[in-house]
Amino acid sequence: MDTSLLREILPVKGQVLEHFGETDWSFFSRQPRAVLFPHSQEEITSVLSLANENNWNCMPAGNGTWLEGCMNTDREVNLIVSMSKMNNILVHEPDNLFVELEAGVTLEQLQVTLRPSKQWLPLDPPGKNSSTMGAIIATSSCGALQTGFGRPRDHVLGATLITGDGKTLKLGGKTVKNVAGFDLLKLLSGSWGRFGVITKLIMRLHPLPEADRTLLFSSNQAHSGTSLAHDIMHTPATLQSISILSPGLREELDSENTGVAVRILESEAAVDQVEALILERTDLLPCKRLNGSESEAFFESLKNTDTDSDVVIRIKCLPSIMKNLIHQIEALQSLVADDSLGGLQFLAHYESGILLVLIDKLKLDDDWLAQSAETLKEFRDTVEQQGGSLTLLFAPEALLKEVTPWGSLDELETLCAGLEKVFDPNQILSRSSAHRSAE
Amino acid sequence: MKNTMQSPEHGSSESPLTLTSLTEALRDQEDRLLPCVHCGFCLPACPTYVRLGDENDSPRGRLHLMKAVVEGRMSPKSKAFQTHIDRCLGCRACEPVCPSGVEYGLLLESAREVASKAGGMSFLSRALMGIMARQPWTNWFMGWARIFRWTRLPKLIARIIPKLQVLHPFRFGLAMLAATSETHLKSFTPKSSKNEKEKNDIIQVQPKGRVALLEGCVQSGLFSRVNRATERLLQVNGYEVVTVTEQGCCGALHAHGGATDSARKLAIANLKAFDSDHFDYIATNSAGCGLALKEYGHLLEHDSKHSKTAYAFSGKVRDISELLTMSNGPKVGGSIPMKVTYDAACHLCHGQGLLTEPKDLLKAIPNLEIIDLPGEEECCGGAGIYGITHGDLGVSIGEDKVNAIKNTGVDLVATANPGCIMQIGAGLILAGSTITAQHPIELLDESYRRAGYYAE
Amino acid sequence: MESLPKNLARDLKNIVGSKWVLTDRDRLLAYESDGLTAYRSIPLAVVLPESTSQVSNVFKLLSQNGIKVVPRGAGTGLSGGALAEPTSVIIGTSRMNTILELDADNRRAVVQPGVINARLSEVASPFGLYYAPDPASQSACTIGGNVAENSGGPHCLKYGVTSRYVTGLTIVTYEGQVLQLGGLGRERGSYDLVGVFVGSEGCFGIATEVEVKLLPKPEAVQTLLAIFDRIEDAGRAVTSIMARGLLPAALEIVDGATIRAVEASVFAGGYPADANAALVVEFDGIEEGLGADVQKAVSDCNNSGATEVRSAATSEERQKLWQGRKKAFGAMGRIATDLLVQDATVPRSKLPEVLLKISEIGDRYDLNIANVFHAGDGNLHPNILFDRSDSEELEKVELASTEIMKLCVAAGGTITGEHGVGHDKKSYMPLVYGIEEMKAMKKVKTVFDPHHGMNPGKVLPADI
Ligand SMILES: Cc1cc2nc3c(=O)[nH]c(=O)nc-3n(C[C@H](O)[C@H](O)[C@H](O)COP(=O)(O)OP(=O)(O)OC[C@H]3O[C@@H](n4cnc5c(N)ncnc54)[C@H](O)[C@@H]3O)c2cc1C
Ligand SMILES: Cc1cc2nc3c(=O)[nH]c(=O)nc-3n(C[C@H](O)[C@H](O)[C@H](O)COP(=O)(O)OP(=O)(O)OC[C@H]3O[C@@H](n4cnc5c(N)ncnc54)[C@H](O)[C@@H]3O)c2cc1C
Ligand code: SF4
Ligand code: SF4
Repeated sequence: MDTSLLREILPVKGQVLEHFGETDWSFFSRQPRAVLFPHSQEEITSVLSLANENNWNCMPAGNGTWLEGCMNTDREVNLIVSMSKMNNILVHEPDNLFVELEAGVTLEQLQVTLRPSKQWLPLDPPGKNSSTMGAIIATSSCGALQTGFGRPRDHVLGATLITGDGKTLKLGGKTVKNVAGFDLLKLLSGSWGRFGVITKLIMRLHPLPEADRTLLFSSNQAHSGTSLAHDIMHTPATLQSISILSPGLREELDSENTGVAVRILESEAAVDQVEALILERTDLLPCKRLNGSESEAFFESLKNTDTDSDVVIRIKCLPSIMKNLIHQIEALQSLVADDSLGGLQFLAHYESGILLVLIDKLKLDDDWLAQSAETLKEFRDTVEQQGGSLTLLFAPEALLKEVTPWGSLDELETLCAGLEKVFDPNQILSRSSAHRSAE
Repeated sequence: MKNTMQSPEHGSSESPLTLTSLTEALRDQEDRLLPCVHCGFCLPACPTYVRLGDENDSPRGRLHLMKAVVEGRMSPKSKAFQTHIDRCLGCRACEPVCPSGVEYGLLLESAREVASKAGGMSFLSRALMGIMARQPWTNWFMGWARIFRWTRLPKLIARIIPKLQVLHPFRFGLAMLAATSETHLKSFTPKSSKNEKEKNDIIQVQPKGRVALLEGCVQSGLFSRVNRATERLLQVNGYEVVTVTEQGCCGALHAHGGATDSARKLAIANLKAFDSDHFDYIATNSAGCGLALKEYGHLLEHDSKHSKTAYAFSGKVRDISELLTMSNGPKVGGSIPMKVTYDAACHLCHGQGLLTEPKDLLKAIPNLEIIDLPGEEECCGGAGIYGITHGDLGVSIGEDKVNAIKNTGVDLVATANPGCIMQIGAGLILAGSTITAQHPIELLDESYRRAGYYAE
Repeated sequence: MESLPKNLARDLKNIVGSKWVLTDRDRLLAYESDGLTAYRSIPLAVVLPESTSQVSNVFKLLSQNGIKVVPRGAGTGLSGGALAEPTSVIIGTSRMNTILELDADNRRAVVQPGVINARLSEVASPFGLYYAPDPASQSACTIGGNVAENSGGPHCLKYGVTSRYVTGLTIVTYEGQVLQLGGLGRERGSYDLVGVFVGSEGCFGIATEVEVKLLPKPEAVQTLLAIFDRIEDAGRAVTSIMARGLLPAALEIVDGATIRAVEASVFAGGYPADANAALVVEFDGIEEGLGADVQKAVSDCNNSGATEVRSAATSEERQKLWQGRKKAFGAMGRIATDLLVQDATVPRSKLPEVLLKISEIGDRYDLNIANVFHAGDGNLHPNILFDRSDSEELEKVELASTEIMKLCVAAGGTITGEHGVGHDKKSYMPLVYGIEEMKAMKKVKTVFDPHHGMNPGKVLPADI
């Protein structure tokens, strides 16, 4: 592969990174040939055209912190096209509650810019503060706040995509309501860079709430974690998040019992009233109250719970079956290394039906791979029998290959493959895709 | 606007000339058709559309058929026009929900007229209308019906006739007749009947007005007790009641059925009989008749000789519930401890906009427990003799109503239209239920009797 | 006129029952238009199935015979979306009107597509829940139609449009394949297929089951009505309310022309007849919080020059304040022979400027244009009143419409906020999209509908 052609397109020093060894930019056992840092859309178009001509496999990226996300297992990559250098906030119109930005802008950078106008983007994806907006959309990453505010796709008003074959598509617009043409914009959320590089985004903003309060409950004999969460969910008020935490997951809660954290983002006038409604529902069970920055900090730390885990499993189910599933997690204990105390944890976003199972340290004895794979597959069956799904979000490459990150796609396979071909006819972005690994 | 995708074609071989004369009645109404903006708000309100799902069985669809006839795109003889106009219940549930205020009921009458002139109507409808148009025939017919009812045979036979499609009209007709029987409320007397029949004097300071009562054919034939009760109630509540002898059928059946010419003749006869200058109000206790009287003005709008009198007449027509709830409502009666529910007759709630008034009559009865009927505003499928002529659909609509009533667990259902009493009552009888259907007036009358308002 | 081959009609009847296949030309007339009566076209036939499997069998039969299909809900659409060419068969969902599941515990429902929007909220009400998207046509339009159009409504300002509430779909493709997309209780490693299907205007497939999220009914609601002498002032009030960080449930404006039309009709709501704008502001949520929000909004209205501010807390009073907004469409139907309801969006702060220019356009073409709009999210509905029989006027309506569309696009908006492109707005698509975007849309349609048998001739211009 002749990178000199690339250097012609990207002439500035540092725009083409080669020979980077085992740094952030290698993922799983693969070493891409080069990481590219374009400065403009034109450069991206040229790079992708060149890649098409030469049949080079590419992968869009942000800051490269989540290249080992499950969708990239088996992905063959020669070139990484990183948006890190395209990180300008282009337009912020507070009156119209939207912001237009380049995809390399980080979430933190955005929130800092918005704060003076008392606005924010209510998203709290897991991971580092250096997550780029493009990647958050591409991976559809979200955390506890999705309960009250929705998923990333609900916040995107418009985007520019440079497709695999180098075409520039401007999708959506600046207004909340827009039904002109088919809604291709939706496809970008969760596209994992397989349709092209997201270069610009127009995001819908929200006013910063006046009051931020978190109530922390500990379960007891009479109130299990899920029954507390259930009762709180059915409070006649909109709550921004209801999370269930396994005992000892956070030090703010006692280490013996399952905890429940409820976040209320409201006007000053309403916050006490909402709290009263919740307490009424929970039979006035004692709770710890965190206000303002304490509340924010608690959730900030919660979002990084999984960053050190060896394995992260994401279960999606209806809230009503979560109780059952939390009991059944016990089955996964056999995957955990013997010396790992409290090595099996969970974090659930009750109303959203998300249950994250975290395995701190895997047991790595002789036949761990076969055994762990067996256990996980069985557990996936258990979950699917109850109508839910199990995704192996993060795991050692070997395990991912044995288990496959997702359950079977069945008849949707053709649709998904068809969509990839629409945007990337030569398949330089999705060679050997995780989708087709199920075939 | 831009080019239409396809220009509409003429689908009929009718010469434009005959078409014109046939559709004249509808064309007259074009101004009433135009405000329909095709928004579809009326679809979910229509009992036939909800059950059949065919746009042609919806108010918007029927209006579209009428428009097509007016525009000469469809022959009024066409099966589509005949079938779907005929299948309309005339319940007018589509009127209150229409944001454009389309006067569907009036348009339907013209459409029926056009349809029946072009195609004719069923033997049964024609026979009934023929009888109703002539007072002596009506009397004769009703007389025999009363005798038959007295034998208690109708109920018995109706219940034993096998549920065969071909026998349905017969079976249902008998049940309808049986449903007109009086219900005795003796079993619903208060336990401690100490101050029963306390003498209540009828103190009459100044009469609230002179009222003439429309007797009605079915009312006077099978429900004369309701008419007498109406008179008593009016008197107790301070009205002077005058009897009008020469009155005849109101013509509702004819107008709604498309026999507009007969309807007009009957209307004119009544205008003469009721010289409206002599009364303050003309009272009715039948929702269908009441609506017809209120629309005499419209019926005769092109009749230069009668139109003014007709409008004046219509302006004085009041349903009994309107009269009794005026100024301080009806007097409170004696206790009737029973459970009832109220079903809103279409021609009262949609046609005349009276929903709370009839219920207020029931509220004047102490200890009467009134249970809300889910879907109280939905048509019971009565619509004249719809239950007989439209087997399947009529039965399905009727059954839904009967089931809703049964689910309330009441002893009795009150509804203020003879047709509805018969339709619902028949349904209940055939379903083997003990619940009976009655006019609210009868209940209030009994309550007044218990309160001792009547010198007995 | 085209007609359906006899044997095909017979086979269709065998699938759905003979009553539910209409082939008689006179009975097909009622299906020649949807809510936009400017277009008429009589379909080849109408089929009214009642289940997913019937739909699938009907589609198999029709696709094998190369006959194209057009889904139709309640036919309240305002862009000619359910219009069928004379060679296409309409598949009506009117008989698929069962609420299959109401799962209050998980705040979700699964419904057949023919269920009426308002009915779902009615049935959910005893459980303290409701279905949030509330198009003004909610008493009549179907959930299937809402899915196809990605419908919005007055309360979408706070709660978002249909796509936010649709969590799963069962669809049938033109070839008759039944596919399950999404589902609230599970995730599959697929792209957001539900997301891209919502808003596909019947061009990808037909939805035969829809899973939706329900919301808890707000504890309390308060409504304000502010009257203004100038529409720009109402626009400024909207901007200052939003700029403060308040998030009302609804912010709606009706202009003077509309007020006069409503007040002249049987639906008069008691708005002052000489007013030039009325702003409806609604807040919902926790009782305690509302008072303060309402106070702030009142002062914003006053500061922007409101001549009068009324407020309502009971539902009857609220009804009254909403009257002028909700009955606008019908009332206009009564004062004009014909009415063209336009639909476009602009960023909120551009409203005053755009409104002014719309009225200039109206003056220039000598047309009456009345404005009713979802001010909170910049969704305009300029209603052009005209007389169809006057061909000169007809042409002016066409020209004025195009100018309004261009104006909105230039202001940073788009050609439709909620009514969809359908048949009516295909020609405006190039105003907002380039060739590549439209080609990509066509290709995505092709992935779902390789034989192009679904709702032909809609959304994309013919030359794409
Ligand atoms: C330790 C850790 C734990 C995490 N846990 C979770 C979790 O549990 N659930 C979850 O959903 N996410 C998780 N994330 C991901 C995280 O929320 C962000 O999505 C991610 O960190 C984004 O950061 P990045 O810019 O470095 O993305 P990258 O790592 O650069 O990219 C991530 C993926 O997005 C694609 N992508 C990035 N930018 C673009 C673009 N502009 N256009 C097209 N495609 C693009 C890439 O192809 C790549 O596949 C985790 C991240 C970390 C670091
Ligand atoms: C007075 C009035 C007010 C309105 N107000 C609003 C408003 O506030 N907001 C708004 O968004 N809209 C509004 N509309 C427009 C219209 O009501 C909506 O677009 C509605 O969603 C259409 O639903 P329907 O059932 O009538 O669909 P139809 O008009 O029958 O069909 C609309 C489109 O959906 C397709 N379709 C229907 N069912 C299915 C299905 N099951 N699967 C796939 N495709 C299907 C059809 O092919 C067609 O393209 C209004 C209309 C009127 C008349
Ligand atoms: S509601 Fe009224 S305007 Fe709308 S379609 Fe029905 S009759 Fe026509
Ligand atoms: S009168 Fe009743 S049955 Fe007839 S169209 Fe109206 S609602 Fe339907």
